[in-house]
Amino acid sequence: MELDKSSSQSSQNLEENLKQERKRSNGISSEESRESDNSREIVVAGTALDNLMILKEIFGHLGLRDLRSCCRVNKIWCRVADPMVFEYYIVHVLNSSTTVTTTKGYVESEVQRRWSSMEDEIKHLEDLKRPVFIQMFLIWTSRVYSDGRELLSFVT
Amino acid sequence: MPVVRLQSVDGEVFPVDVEIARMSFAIRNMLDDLGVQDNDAEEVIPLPNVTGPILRKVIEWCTHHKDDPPPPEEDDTREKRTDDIPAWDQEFLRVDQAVLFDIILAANYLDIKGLLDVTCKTVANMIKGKTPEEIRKLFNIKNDFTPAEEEQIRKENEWCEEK
Repeated sequence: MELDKSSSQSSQNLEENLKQERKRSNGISSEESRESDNSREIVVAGTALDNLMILKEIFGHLGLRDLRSCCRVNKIWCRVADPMVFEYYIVHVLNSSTTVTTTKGYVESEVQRRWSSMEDEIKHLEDLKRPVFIQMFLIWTSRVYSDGRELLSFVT
Repeated sequence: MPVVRLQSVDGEVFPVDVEIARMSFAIRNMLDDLGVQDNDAEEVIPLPNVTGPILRKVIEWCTHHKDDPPPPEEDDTREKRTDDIPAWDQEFLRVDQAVLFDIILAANYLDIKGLLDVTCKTVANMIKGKTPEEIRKLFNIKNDFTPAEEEQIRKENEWCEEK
């Protein structure tokens, strides 16, 4: 492979270009972009740490304790890490005989684990546009919230 | 060696061996869908989500790893390791945090699994062992929880104390 030599840049120019690129924010709103001072990183909404798929990929390398920390970082991280805490608990901590299988590419993009109520789960299944293969449906445990709601954990 | 030309969003054009370009499943699919043959050296593939400096890094990584064996099948039930990043990759990823995140975005967009994996492992290693506050400080992330929400999340996670 050969790179286009004519377009090579000095490291200074590279840094400048990258600063500009950070502000561009990859097509997602950058309203929340901020720069606290010259010594701090610029973090722009719409970067890798706001991308749910990428966060899931990163969190997939973490254990239970770190996943729980991630849940408490901000709302986006919580949205990704919270179901993974549950997943990790079943797969690694309980080390149960549960076989986790996936349904990639068909109806649900992957194994779904979530906290929900039975009514909401039934509605979720009814609302699916296409037929469903449920490979595993497990009610594991429940949470009771301070307002009296009881939510069950589901693996489908 | 047949080449394709990859064009970054800022107009920079990189002639790349087809064999290396096809490490990106996005480019591979594009070439297959377009019916581009190996001798179509003039074909220019625009990559509107990747800047020149980042594309240069991605190509450098792909070039170094072009002879790697295919990654093993994923096993969801096995805990993933993060202490197995090769020394060359560690040095390659010793970059500004924003550059690292841009490489991750590019690897995700171009669907280069090996690069996405090693960059995400690097970020996971940065997160490991840190408190939520330390993570926010490291990545300059704003805490958008109210105190009540924070308390609720803390309580909700009490059920799965690590054994």
